[in-house]
Amino acid sequence: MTFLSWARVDGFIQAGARRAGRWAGRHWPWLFLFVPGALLGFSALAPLLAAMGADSTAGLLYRGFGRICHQMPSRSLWIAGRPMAICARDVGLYAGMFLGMWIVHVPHAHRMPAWGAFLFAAPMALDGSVQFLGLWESANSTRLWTGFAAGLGVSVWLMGELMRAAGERNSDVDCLNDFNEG
Amino acid sequence: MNIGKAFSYVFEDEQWITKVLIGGLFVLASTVLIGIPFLLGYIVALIRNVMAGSERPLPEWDELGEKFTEGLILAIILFVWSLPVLLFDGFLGALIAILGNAASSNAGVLVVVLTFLIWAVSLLWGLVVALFTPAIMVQFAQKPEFSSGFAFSNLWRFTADNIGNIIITVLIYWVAGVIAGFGVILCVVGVLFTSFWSYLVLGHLIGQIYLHRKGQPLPPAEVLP
Repeated sequence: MTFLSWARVDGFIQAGARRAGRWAGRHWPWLFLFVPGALLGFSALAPLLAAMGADSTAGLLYRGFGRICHQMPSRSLWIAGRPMAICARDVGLYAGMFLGMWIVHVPHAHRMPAWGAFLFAAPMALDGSVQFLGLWESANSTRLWTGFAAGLGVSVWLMGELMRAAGERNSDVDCLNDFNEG
Repeated sequence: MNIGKAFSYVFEDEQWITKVLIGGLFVLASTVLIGIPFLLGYIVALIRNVMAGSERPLPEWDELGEKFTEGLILAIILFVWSLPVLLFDGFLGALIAILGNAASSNAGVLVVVLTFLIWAVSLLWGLVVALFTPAIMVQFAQKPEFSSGFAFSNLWRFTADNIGNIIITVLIYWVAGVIAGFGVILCVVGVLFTSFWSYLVLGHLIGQIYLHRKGQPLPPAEVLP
């Protein structure tokens, strides 16, 4: 059997994936923290890179975020004389999500009902809809705070739902044990 | 195949709203790569449920560790399948960069030809992978191992026997993707949830290909030396 036989490669990948899966199965709530943090960080990095002259790298980030955001400069926060890669509402959304994914670990916070998330998201829905219909032009501060509220409420609710669905035992996240005992 | 069912079965699940919203979270997590194994593992679980003839095939978001494991292996399989064109494009891209610096009209013509070659080969190989993906995923759903993605005789036989349904699946998935694009109306982030819905459509169709397959049931993936 050669060192790089198919069976060895197969076994190596299987073993590695199982190890990664065991780790992810235990720590996935904390993995989620990384997501909004990374999105905020990279979206702030884009204008900084552009200001430093790293146009191609900044352009990559702007193009990537362009798939999930309209990136209108008038509706974006600016850093170093350039707009962030996401709009003000999305900055608020991801900041709210980041805080929400911490708060969900506070005892009983994960029990937020769907109507609670709706209440948090309603201002953003109202602000966005009224603007879409052309009845008024929102301000970036309004977009930021309504996005923050929506991100906070929806993330706490959804993470709570996911924790209930996962109901993992042997987790290092204490609040998951509430589901197992309750 | 029941194409209408593939579009509508999601909404027949009592908890479809929660499941789709959670799926959207994982689609968002996929933008920084973390969510990809979870998503792929969920789609494999969906395909397995459809293959088993389940009335409510939309999986629960439980056993996240197992989903991550299977999704990671499947992601590696699909990456290996993409490697040939990635290496080819990389090689030609480097060649183009070198020729681009040469001040010669011949070099300019060569750059155009090579660029067209990259586009043509990428398109062709993309089509090949798209046509084989249903077979790969069915084989993987039956036996979630790395070798399942490279059991070429099984994959060829399944694809050849069911090429009609596979082409329909690829076309319908494209339509679902176009519909999913309207998710931008929902404050742009809505596209995360509609994209997840389009993946669910694809998963159901792939499961249906197995249910309506021609030819013999797939044997276990061959063990290569």
